[in-house]
Amino acid sequence: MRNVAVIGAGVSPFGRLDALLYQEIGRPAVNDAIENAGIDRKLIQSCYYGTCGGVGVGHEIMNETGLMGIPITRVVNACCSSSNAFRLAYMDIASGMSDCVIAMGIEKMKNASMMVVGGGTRFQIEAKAYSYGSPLSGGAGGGMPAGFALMGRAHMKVFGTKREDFANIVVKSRKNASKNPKAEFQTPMTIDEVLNDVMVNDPLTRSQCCPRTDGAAAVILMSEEYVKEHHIETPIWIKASAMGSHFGVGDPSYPPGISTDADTAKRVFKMAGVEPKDFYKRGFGECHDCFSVSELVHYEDFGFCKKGEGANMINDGVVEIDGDLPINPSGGLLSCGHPLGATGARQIAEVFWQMRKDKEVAKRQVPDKHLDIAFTHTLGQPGLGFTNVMHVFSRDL
Amino acid sequence: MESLITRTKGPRLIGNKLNAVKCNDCGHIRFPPRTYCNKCQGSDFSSILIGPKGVIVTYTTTYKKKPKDKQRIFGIVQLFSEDGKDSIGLSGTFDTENFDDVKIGKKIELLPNEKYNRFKILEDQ
Repeated sequence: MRNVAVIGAGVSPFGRLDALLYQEIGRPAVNDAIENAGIDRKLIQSCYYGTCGGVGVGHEIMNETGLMGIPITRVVNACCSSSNAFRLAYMDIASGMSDCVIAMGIEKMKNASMMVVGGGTRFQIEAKAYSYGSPLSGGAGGGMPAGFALMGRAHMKVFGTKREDFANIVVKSRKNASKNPKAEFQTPMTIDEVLNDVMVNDPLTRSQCCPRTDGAAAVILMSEEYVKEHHIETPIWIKASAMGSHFGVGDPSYPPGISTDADTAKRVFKMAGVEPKDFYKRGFGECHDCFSVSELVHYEDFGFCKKGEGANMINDGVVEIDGDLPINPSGGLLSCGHPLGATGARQIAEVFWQMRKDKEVAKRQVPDKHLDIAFTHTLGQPGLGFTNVMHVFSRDL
Repeated sequence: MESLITRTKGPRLIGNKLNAVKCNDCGHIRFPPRTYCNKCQGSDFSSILIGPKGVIVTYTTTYKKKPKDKQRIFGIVQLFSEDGKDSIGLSGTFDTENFDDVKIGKKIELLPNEKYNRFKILEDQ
């Protein structure tokens, strides 16, 4: 396989963008990514884009940005759509098929209903329990918030985790997002405000659920040969890519959490030649915090701490921007919002900008010592089964 | 050529027990039945009945848009075979509107219902 780098990224503002067309949301993300990369757009040879509800919008956006004519591939994989698109772009270059590829994600949530894609939503109400033996799956009876509420309650029972521990994830998220002008929610919240918010599925209050959000993000990938040939100064190298699937979030034999995340994390870290402990002191990451509960269990499932010790990560400040292992410096899905098809690309853009010390993230810059390695992680539910995508990045080849 | 049929035919419930299959190679239980095992990819299954007794693994509430909306409580139970050697996780609603009635570890019984999984919380704990 050839070495592949990320060389540019662009992200649209995230929020309720009902008045805008898909191309009006996606075009600035693509143009900003190309400008951020500092390349001639003629170099781009292929496009992979993730979206759940946007049929044919990749062609529209490529047409508007002067890129029509290249291969354009749509990827539909729930919340993993654009991280999956990025993985395909990586494989395209690594295999030698292409040298410069754009990976993009876009979503207008009014066209990406829960019933179609099984994605995150703030108000999943109806409790028609139809699950066929899949613990915590979409059939759990109340959609995604309910699935993670069930996991949270089990975590409380098994490990003694408290409501305040989950709520603290939101406090951290909002604090980081207050320095992210593209996040949907930029106002800090206190722990009392989080706990006293509208109850959605006990123990999850509204602010512990990511909002339905519109937005787009794009990243440019390039082969090592092209990086040298075109004198790209600050490439961020992709060290590993892994993906998994599972029927439902977990099984009774696995402690509250997501067993497939644990499996995918092991594989992606092994491919990158790193261990979870390597991220302490010299790494950071963006994980899929669709709900407060999910971020906390990710700490454990990735191996950053033992099962049941996730609460310590947030309460001791480990995952703060100035902590030992900063997680979600962007504010994550809880504050940026979650346009299903765009989230994965947005996470990669954040990691890229952070590692490159780009002006885009100047106000929320992760300290230098943490910029050696980084990971991204998305988790989606394209139907009853779950899928996840993880990547590891490095500043060094 | 392999069969295109991935689901074996049969009723969802036999009495108040789930009609499931158990992989003869690795012991993994599939409900509803499928022709291939997700764990070992084997295709040699035996029929097994699961339930109706089980315990509550976790639970939560439905979202109440208005205060007068009906509050429902649902969750995941671990349902056991009669000999207690096999079990599966199953989600469904509980037959109570009182949050205090539901506790992790409480015993339940699957109620016969062809459409949804519904659990009765047993008095005898």
